[in-house]
Amino acid sequence: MRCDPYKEQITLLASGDLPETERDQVERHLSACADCRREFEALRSLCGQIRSLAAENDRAEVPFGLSERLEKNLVAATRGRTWLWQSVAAAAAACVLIGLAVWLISSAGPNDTGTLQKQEPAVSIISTSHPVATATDLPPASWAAYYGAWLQSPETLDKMLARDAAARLKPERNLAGLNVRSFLETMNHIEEKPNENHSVRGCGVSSVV
Amino acid sequence: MSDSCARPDNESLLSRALAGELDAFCGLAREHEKRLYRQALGLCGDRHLAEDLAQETLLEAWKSLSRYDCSCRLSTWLYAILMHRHQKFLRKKGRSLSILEQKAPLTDPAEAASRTEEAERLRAAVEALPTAAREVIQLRFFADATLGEIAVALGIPQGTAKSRLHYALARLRQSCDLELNHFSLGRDSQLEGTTR
Repeated sequence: MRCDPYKEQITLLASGDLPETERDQVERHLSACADCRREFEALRSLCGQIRSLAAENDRAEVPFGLSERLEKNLVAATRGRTWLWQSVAAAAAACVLIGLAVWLISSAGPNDTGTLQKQEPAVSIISTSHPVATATDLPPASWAAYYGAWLQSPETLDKMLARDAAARLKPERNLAGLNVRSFLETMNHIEEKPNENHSVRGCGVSSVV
Repeated sequence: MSDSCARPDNESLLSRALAGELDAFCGLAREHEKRLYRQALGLCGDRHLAEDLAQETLLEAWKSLSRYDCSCRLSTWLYAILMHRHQKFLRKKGRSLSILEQKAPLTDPAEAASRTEEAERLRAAVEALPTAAREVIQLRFFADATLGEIAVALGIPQGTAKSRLHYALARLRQSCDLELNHFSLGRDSQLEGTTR
């Protein structure tokens, strides 16, 4: 008798996992095969023993306060996790906001200056004796200071102008040779037309942008 | 299998827990924790470790609850997590089959006395099975899972679950027979020794 095709089914019958539809066929084989019947009985007994083992586990005493401890730890761990995620989210949000602010400031800076240039007059000093020594967009707030310096002496103004220009230009550049008088004439011109941009070139007002 | 997803009384708990309500999950945990603890004790044999394993299992279950699709009972799903946590613990400790070693000194004496030698041999034989076979035996008999649920819990086809169960039982039967023979031989040889 060929028993091999039934081996798995016999095991499943013993463990209670054989579908009803296959049961008749296997039971017919078992009734005709003594070896398989012995195997089936041994397997059924084995399954019973394993179930007893499992049942023994189910009878194990549960320690006092298990539920409370499990729940407490579960809640604590979950809150810890929530707190951690909230912290991470807050830190991420802060980083994004800071980054956004920095980007806005850095990108808005030049535009704002441009807007100011259009709204307020700015002075460009172009030295004809020293072509690379060009100071552009000197702040209007410093004009009064320049005027005060000129009232003291042309040398004082010269120094001040050179210092301011040096701060705005590369160190190797300077305003040596700039005609101070022409600058002061520009100042007067600016007083007359305060909403225009002006430039000083060598001696005298050269252009109005 | 979806009918076995949840009993009507805990169905709402499950759906609320799935929606992220921790209180609802705690309610579910209360229903399963004792059984989970006992199953953990059956796996590791140590009461403190069993409690830790049950704790880790529930926490893991809460974290990955969104992946629970009701294709098997919650108890089966929890048991599968428990098995993995236990395997992880054993790997961490660098021990594969030392469960009996830790059981011996830590088991309650009264409990130990009530165990028969056969039960201990069978327990040892189950523990000695290859992981794939042992998982199926544990899920089928210790978590009372059906073949379909075993397939879902282990992520294998149902046919594979059947084959593994067949293989595991055949292996257990073989090893228990061998143990029995060894035991008989040992007793016989002892008897022979005493009679000589």
